[in-house]
Amino acid sequence: MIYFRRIVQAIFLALFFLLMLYPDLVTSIIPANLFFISNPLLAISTIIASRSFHMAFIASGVIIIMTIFLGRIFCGWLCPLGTTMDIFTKITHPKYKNTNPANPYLRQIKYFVLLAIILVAVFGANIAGWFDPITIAFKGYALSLYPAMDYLLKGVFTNLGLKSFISPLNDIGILDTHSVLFHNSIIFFLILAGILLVTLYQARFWCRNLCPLGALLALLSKWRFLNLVIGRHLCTECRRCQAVCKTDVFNEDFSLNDEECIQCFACVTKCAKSGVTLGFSKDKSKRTSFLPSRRGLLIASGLSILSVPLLKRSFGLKLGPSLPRLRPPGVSREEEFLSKCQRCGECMKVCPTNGLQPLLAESGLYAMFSPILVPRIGNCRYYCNNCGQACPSGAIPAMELGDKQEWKIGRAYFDTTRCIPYANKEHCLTCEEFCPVPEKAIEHIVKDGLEYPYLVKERCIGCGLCEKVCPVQGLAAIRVSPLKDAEL
Amino acid sequence: MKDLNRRQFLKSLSVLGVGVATSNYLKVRGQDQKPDDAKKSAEGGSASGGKPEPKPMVAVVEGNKPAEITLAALGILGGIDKFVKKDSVVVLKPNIAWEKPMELAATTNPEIVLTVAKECFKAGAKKVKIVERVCNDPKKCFQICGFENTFQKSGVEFVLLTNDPKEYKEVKIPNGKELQSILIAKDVLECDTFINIPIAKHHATAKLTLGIKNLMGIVGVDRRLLHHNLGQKMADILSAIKPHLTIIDAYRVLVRNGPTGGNPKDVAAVRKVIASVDTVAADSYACTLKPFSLEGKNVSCVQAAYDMGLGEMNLDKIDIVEKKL
Repeated sequence: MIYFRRIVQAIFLALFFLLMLYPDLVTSIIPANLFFISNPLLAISTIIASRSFHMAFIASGVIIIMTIFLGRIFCGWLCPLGTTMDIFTKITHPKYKNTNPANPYLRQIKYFVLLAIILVAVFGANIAGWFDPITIAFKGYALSLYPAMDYLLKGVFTNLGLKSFISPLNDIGILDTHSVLFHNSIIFFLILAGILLVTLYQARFWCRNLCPLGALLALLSKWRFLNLVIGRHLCTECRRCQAVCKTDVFNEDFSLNDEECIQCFACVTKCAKSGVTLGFSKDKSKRTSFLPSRRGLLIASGLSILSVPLLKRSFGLKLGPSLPRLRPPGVSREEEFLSKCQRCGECMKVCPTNGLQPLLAESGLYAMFSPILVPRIGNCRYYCNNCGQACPSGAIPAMELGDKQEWKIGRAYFDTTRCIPYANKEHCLTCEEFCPVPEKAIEHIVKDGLEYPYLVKERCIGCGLCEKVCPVQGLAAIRVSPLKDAEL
Repeated sequence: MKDLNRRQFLKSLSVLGVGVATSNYLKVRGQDQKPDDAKKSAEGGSASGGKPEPKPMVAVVEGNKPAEITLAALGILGGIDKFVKKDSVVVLKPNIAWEKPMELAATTNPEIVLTVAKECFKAGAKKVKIVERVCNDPKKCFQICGFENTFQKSGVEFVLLTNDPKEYKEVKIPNGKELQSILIAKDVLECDTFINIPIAKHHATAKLTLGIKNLMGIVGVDRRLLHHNLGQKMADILSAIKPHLTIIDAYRVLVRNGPTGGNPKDVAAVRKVIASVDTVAADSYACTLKPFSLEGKNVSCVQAAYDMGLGEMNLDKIDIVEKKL
């Protein structure tokens, strides 16, 4: 059974990477955002925070039903972050032995995190994406490790004179045709690395103590049918089950911390006498849980509710106009967008120009890890609507290509103190050359033999290609501004 | 392996030092020699192109099928065999710079390029490469412009140039007015025959983009930096690397909103192919095409190239052979 589980884990981790690398290859069969839309934590938080329902969330029903029937199969078998931790533990502790017994105080944290996420959502803020294991894994892999690997492999191939290897790897999508880079993406790596490092202290430390999705599934699994049963008449008290358990389900007195069980079947396989089984009947073993006390819950509730205004108001958000905050195409209202955005990073990964970048705290703490378009890095490609297709929560609406091509992300403005014809009296017009809309939004007038560009604002869609290609170094001489300052 | 003792270390160090010094010296010498070579070749080039021996010939063929008119134009110039030798390497330089479907006339018609490529293979070319430095995403450009489909199993190699300086070689421009040297793609410098296959279209900066302007796509300099005094800079580049043959695709022509276009209303069906050994002559003729109704002197690239003696601009000094299919 352990081997079967490992195969399933490997398959789902591979699927996770496959969907990450080839978002459009498998779209027809499996949606690229499968792991996000089937995630009940993100679904619940987004539904509550945005007071709206996105059809794709129906997929999360599968996980919910699965958990009610079978317990936390998701955690033990499917979760890419869990699998990553298992692999890491396998490498660091080939002969794993559970030595650090459960700390009931640590274990309660995950319920507090879950409570905070849901309460904050009730007050209209969606912060699940900061704590959800799938988004953490995706951002770590796709936004931080992938660009690093891309850079490393290209560098190695180039320096070894094996440049011819790069292009076939490009073609099959392992390497990127550009050098992708995401702002501050080291943070995503550090979070991932931190989660892996604490497994040195306790295997699956994150799952035991912190994971809000784990907490949600633990609550759901209270009524499950597939239970751990210790056949006491067979038990020789060898305590092998305790030793192999990664989430420390077995207490000293053989009472069970049921909700902690991730159904990994290690105990069942290792039990000397087949005393431990997973069965569909509940035996009379004593069961304990780590649900926080009422007082703890009340204090946590109060703090979470307080944190909403703090999140939304105490980080200089009123700096609005000076902030470059171009949201992906299709996003109209900032508040609504942030309540739906799961901070998963899908849109940034599928953006072909690398123009979609994660915000840090530039636009307030609440907007952390949400995407903005940075035209100087990459424009919004005229023939592309990937981000809307990939967004799991409808924060970026899925638009037909034709509609997206007419969507106004912002508007370009000339900075005549920097624009070459105005400032240096030299020829340029690069922006007009590149402008991709059929009726060019940039035209020019000729005065004394010199062409001066100007913008026809009705035609500009704010794609930012002009800003990207502007030959003025540093701050471009034409820049896209949001049409309306975000209200927050 | 033996450990080094101090004496050996010093010895090898001194040998290494001498080696480095001489290699550096040799390198300096090598660089000293280069301009002479470049000058020689430039003189050679101007000797054949500058003297008004025979009038340069421009073949203009009109017809409904891109492949047929291309073949006919090549036929008028004496067939591709004149330019492509057996076992030679041929580089084709179409315009695939923008991600627009070919019907919008922002990029060279792939059928015309394929016809030329096939002819090159027929003439015995060992290798045919398409070299281009793309403005938008290279992969998408090839897909959207129809090259990926057209060139399946054609045996033609695609070279997508990037910003990597290793892909280019610096070439001196002894007669350059704006540029003293320029980075040009190695693939182009090392080939035996270089065939330029631009599309004729409107261009915001250059008025029209034709054969001379098409050379932008083999240059390793950030193209944005060439936009000041573009005409002269392009002419300088032409003096450094002259295509052996220029075939202008005027089958569909973009009249407004160039070079990217996008509006089907801006496309005019001219159904012509213009071919010549003289890039300037071909460009100059293309300026006069009906939807443009310009002259060579109106387009800065053509005028500057003519001023530098790189080709003939006056249509009455050009032998124009027109044919209708």
